[in-house]
Amino acid sequence: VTLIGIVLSVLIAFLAGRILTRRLAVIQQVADNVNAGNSDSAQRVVLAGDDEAARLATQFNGMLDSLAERKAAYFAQNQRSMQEINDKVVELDRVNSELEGKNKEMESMIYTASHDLRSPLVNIQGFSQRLEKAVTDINTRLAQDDVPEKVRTDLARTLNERIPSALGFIKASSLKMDMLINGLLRLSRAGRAQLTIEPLDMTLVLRAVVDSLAIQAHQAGATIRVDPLPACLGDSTQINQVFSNLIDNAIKYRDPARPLEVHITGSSDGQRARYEVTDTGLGIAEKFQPRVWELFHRLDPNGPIPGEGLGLTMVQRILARHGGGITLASSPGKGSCFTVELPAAFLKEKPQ
Amino acid sequence: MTKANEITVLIADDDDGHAMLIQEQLEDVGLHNKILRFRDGAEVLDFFSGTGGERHREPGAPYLLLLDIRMPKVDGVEVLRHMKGHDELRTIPVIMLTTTDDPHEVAECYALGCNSYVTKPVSFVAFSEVVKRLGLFISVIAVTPSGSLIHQS
Repeated sequence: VTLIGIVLSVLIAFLAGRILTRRLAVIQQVADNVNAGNSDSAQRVVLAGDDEAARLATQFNGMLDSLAERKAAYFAQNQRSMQEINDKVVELDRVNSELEGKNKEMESMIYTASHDLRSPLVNIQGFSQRLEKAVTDINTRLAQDDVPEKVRTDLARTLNERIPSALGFIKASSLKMDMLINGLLRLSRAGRAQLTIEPLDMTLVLRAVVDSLAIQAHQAGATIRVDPLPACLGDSTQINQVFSNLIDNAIKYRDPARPLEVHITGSSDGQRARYEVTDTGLGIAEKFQPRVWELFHRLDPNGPIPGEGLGLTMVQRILARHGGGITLASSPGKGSCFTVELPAAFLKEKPQ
Repeated sequence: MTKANEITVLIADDDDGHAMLIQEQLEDVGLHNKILRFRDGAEVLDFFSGTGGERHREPGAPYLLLLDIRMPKVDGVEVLRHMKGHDELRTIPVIMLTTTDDPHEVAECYALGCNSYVTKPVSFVAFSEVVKRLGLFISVIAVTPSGSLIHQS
């Protein structure tokens, strides 16, 4: 009996164990499905009864319920964040196109204004020339024998000093104004020009710039060195203009006390390319440094160096359109260093 | 063949000063052609179509048009477009006058078929150069059989 009892209880235990294992396997199956992520989140363990497995199943289902709830909350939050980001992008796009529109409007206003301003200047200059010619005509007539000497001497000062000097001022001023207006026109043209952005071999670009300035550099006794430069993305004409302006400035504002050296170096971190134009020129005092970018600003407007105070304004605007920038470091008596930053590029093949 | 002095020079410019300067400079370089002045593009078109009253085109007579671009009512580019699209008017030489040398504008005018393009200059030397070239241009057209155009850039 005892043996039978033992065998029976072992058998019962064995059977109960098998039943429990099978019931647990149901939970296991759902858990595996949930883990593998290939079940929909609504899947639950269905286990009738009142044993441990059923209780475990209920707890397990409760856990799944709370997981699903958290997941849903997370998705909702995510959705809201995405919506917010989308809204911000739309808003940014709107502000951007509004700014672009304003910019275009301003460029076209500058263009029209310059056009219209130039028209009266043609008259001021043209009629000054006519008056000059009239003075010559009067002088020719006065030189003839039938004119009394007294009339000739009375008119001499007016005809030969006062009128020519007045005309001189009118002409010089209108020429100056013409130069400024042309500057504005060039600026607005540079701002409206279509950019053709492509990878640029900057070593070649700088070689072309230095070649085009060779005569000025030679006359100034300047040495210009160009290191091997990393490539960047830009419009070749406008980037050429940027470096032409910078090197031309270096030549113009050289220090007569020592020979001018201009050194162009570059580096790239793969994202941004940087180019330094370093010179041994006059240098710019710190308080004037922020003003060099201003339209028509010149260090010494009445000095001997010609120009319209447009070069650096143009440089800054061109670089801004390229998503680049420029900074200045300078100390008087030592020289200046302009650092140009542009989006980096990789050239497919290195030209020889 | 047409003689240079038989050409009537048409000046279309809304600015009185500019028109007078052009006229006087033409005289200075020895051109004493008949000159007619127009204040806007509409007046020019009226002249050519004969709807402008007493001033109208004489069929077969030689003309040279100096055409300002920025004018009220009908601008110079419109006048040019109309003329170059018109069988009888397309052979009349047209020189565009402007206060800027905007490359887009220049390209547009040449594309439409203007014969030359002159930027109104402010400096004395440049202005006489332009007018001398105009004078030369007029005498060159004069010995060219009508219908064939000289392209001067």
